[in-house]
Amino acid sequence: MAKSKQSPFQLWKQRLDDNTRSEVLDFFREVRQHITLPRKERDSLIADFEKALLWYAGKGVSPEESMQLIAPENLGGFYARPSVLWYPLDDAAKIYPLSMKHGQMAVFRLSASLLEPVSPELLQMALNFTIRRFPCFATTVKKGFFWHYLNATKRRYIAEPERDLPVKPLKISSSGSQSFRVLYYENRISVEYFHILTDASGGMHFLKTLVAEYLRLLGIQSSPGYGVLDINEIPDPEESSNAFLAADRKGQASGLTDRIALQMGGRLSLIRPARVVQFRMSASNLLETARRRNATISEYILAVMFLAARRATDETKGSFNMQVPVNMRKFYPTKSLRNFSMYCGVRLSLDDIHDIDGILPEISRQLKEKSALEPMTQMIHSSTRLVSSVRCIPLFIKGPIASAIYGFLGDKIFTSTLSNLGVVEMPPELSPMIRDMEFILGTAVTNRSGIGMVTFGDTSMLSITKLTSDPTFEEAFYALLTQDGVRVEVEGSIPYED
Amino acid sequence: MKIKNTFPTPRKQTLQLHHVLRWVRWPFGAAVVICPLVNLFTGKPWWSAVVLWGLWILWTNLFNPAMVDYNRVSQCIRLIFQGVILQILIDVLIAPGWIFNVAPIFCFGGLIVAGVLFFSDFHRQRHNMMPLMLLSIGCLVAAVVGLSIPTPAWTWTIIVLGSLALAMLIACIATTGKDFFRIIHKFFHIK
Repeated sequence: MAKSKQSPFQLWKQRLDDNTRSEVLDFFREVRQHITLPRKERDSLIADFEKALLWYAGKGVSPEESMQLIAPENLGGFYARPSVLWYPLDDAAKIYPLSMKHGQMAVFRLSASLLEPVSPELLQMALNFTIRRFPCFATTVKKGFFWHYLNATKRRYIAEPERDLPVKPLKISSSGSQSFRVLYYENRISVEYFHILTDASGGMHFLKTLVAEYLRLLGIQSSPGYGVLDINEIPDPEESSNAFLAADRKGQASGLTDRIALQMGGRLSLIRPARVVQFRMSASNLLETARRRNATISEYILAVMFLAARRATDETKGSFNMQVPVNMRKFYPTKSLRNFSMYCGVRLSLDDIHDIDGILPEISRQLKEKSALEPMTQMIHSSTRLVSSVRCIPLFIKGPIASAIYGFLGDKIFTSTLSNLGVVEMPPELSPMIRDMEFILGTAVTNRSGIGMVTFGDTSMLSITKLTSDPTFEEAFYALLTQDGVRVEVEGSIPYED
Repeated sequence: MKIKNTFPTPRKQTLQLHHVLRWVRWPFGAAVVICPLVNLFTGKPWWSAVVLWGLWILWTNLFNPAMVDYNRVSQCIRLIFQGVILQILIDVLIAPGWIFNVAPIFCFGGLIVAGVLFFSDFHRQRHNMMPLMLLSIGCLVAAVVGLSIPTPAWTWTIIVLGSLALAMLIACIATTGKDFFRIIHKFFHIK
């Protein structure tokens, strides 16, 4: 009877020889030394180590080897010292807590699909080890008198099974709540971030480091590099810095608004997103198709977007404006893992959208012109000037005003968004273990769709986040690509709203 | 176009707050318009102001709660603040003459509750110290102002309020130690 009450870990421990059992006891003594969290949190962390050891035992790994892989030194002092750090929001992040509403939050997702199903036990351990390398991610959003800020939170950050809608708003209101979530589903590891923390570039560093750590726990060693950070390295303060302040802020400031753009048709869904549709394409095939038309992949995809959007509306007048985020790191190199992106808009009148070849030169021209250093710097100048001009107004005054302005304008100046992360690389030792990567944009307010795209190896994944159940846009998109010779495999979710 | 499902079927959607909000805002909006109109016709007392503030309390606590800092300490302090304003409105607009007896008792009662909520879960709640300190400072200032007005009937409540607020403030500063200035700095930062 007494035996049946013992946990699987205790049973496993009993089966060990005296020498190994003593080593296991020493191991857990050392683990405890690294954790001074409240009892419940500490017990959960210790249970993570127990589950990981059991997992290794199930795979036939010796206790000595498994204890070496999950050595408590990897915890560093993260769980042993009280949190003292805090971070002001970067200039781009300041709008996110002011514009969010219940059911609407700027969340995006980055995923990596592996060749094997994900082990939850090892993923949790990988997260336990990785989070300390990203101190500005181990934070909770707090309200100050003038601005929100990120307050360092020492806790066990959770890796959970994916059971809900993708890019669902995070619950950030309670004490010590996470501003990101780590999810696993079959072969896929996903991280969903509240945009207040980082942009896709910073988020990709976290995902890569998490995946690298997960694979290390599986016994696949790699050297840092290719965006994978060394988890045992002391974080560089520049990684948590507001890079907007380092950008050139001389010269003219540009306007941050534009005229209202035409939206695609279809009733806005109550459930957000209404669906996620993904196009898996061969990167070389796509590049070849784009080059045949003297275009880059982004320009080509934008052209297809315009044509597909044209078919997804009954309007006859007006213009579409596609938002294209621009990574400012290409102009101002920085180690910052926080937000450092701006955006530009490519606008075409409905009358001009007939075929790809007809619109590509104009798209190409606008994209080159608007995403160049000068207009982007002017935009940074505008946003920093705006932030600076309202910095001394208490939050309880500027909060409702910003919320009302955002509620009125929202995303109406854009029709859709194309965010192309480009080619993502991993260390050569790890690349064979990864099948593909995904980038899913969060839902907007009125834009019926948003597109995130990322290329890993020879796979380009284009993810359409839908805000309407009307399938015209993605069907037209698919038809246009296939007509052009692009081989597309279509994946995605079921429609969440019938 | 055939779509291969690569996402889990989501859990059955529970009634989300934003769905409730879609429907609830209509009766609330109607009440916000109708009450002052009816009050305009019926004339004094201006009870609609009390109703509107009551609706605001309901709206911000039940239907549209804060999305940041919705923790037990901040929530308790928000309720105390809203409760005091409600009492002032009732006293000024409907039934005058009792506020100086009731409000200090309400405040020091609230201060005790907030203090218990804070210190009973110190590890987590220490990040929510600033609202408690602001409440204590507010109560202390109110007590000093109250004591400077000679009204013997309610002096004891003011003394208790002032003493409790001072004790709470000292306790907060003592428990934070050298982190006190860091807490002040991050709360009032303008970066």
